[in-house]
Amino acid sequence: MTPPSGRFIAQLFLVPGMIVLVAVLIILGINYLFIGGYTPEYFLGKLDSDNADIRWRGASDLAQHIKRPESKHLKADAVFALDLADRLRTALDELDQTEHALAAKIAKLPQAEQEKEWARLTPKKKRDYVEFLAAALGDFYVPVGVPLLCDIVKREEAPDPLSNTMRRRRAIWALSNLGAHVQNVPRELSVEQQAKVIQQLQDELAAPQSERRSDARTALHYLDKTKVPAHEPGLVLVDHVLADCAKSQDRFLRVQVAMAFNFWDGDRTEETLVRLARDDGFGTLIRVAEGD
Amino acid sequence: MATAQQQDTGLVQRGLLLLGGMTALVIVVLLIVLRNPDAPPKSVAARSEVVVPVFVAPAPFPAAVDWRLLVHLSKQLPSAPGWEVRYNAAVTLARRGSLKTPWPVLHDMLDEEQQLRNYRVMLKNGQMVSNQEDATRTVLNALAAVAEWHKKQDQNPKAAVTISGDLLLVYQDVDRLAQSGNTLVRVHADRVRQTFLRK
Repeated sequence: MTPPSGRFIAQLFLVPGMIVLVAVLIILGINYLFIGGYTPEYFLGKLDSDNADIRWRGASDLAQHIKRPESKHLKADAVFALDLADRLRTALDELDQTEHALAAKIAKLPQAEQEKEWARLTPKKKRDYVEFLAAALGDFYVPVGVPLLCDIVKREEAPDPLSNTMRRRRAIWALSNLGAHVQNVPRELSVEQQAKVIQQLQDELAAPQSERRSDARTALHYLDKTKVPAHEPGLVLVDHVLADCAKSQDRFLRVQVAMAFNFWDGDRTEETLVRLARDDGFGTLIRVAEGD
Repeated sequence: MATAQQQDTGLVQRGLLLLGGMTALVIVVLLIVLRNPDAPPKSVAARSEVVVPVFVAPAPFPAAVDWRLLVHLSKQLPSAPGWEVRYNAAVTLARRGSLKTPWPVLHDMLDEEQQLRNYRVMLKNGQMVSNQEDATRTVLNALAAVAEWHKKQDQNPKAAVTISGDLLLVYQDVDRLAQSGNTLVRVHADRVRQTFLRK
């Protein structure tokens, strides 16, 4: 009996490894040459798919891809950000309607059964989709997500208080991310890229009155205050929303507000921070575990 | 015949080597699986329970209360509720270079012992321990904020900044932290001292 030689053992792993490597390279090459990689159209196409699996694959791809340093062009694409904001607005409205309809449906049941029914019928996927889109808007250099994120943050009442609490906290987190990205625009985007973003937003302003146009206007204000000054009506000012949110009964939300002011300046920032620096811990510390 | 014996010996040696490797792997896996999940992590410092005999009743109120101990008790308790909010607001104000920065809050943050009391968690076995990592992070955040505030004052020479009593207390805190047993804190505190307004 001859023991296997070292060369033989190496071949056992090396040959299949080479075959797999070549196959992966061929697939990547085809993907790069013919499919065109990760473009806004690719992501939007996936997110709009009727097939839930494809939708989630697209969401997963976007969540991973947009955080990469080499995805600057994607993060600085104002039209793509506005397209995502449109989808978030629709998803948020649908979630709101579904939750209210569900709450009305189970209102007549006894309390214990209400909770069971809510847990059974709760629109978890719609909630996850809203939270995904909200988080994604926080990854852009273009703050078109400000009005929608602020809208989520302002919602005190909802049929499902726990998920609403979680959604508000995540929205503030996304706002902080967004603020940090906006602060980094002069450092991380070239002059040409900055000019392109401004031009894209100004093109949107030429469109008829719509929520999309309003999102673009607010974004333009935060990128270039000379083009849209703060006193113009209809602007959503983050410091004003955070200042209102600083009165929330949710203590953790107030902690987040204090942090978010690191990234959003305005006429109400200082007074709100001074008030928060005297916070006596009023309200509740709502603990929401993952999966609630 | 001799060649066959040599080949057999080689096979046995390799077999023994493989067996040794497998045994080591099994021991590592068993150690991971069977380790005590309730053991405090390295970053968690065990702290003695707070026991203060404040209330004894040899005499009626107010003589029943040992007021000296009551003062001592305040040094054994976590900060008043809402400290997480106050800390974050104070750090944000300091980073902005605000003249309204609440120095007493930063003074609280720079107290290492106080942070160990604030970051107490209960293990599954009911033991209360302090999370050293979080406590240190808070102190480092406060140090960074103090340094940032001073940099902002340097960048704005028109601002007339006076060294208040509260700010002096913060300076003393940083001086004390520059002698801390925690190397990370000591190094950061020493760097922050270079930014101070005092001469």
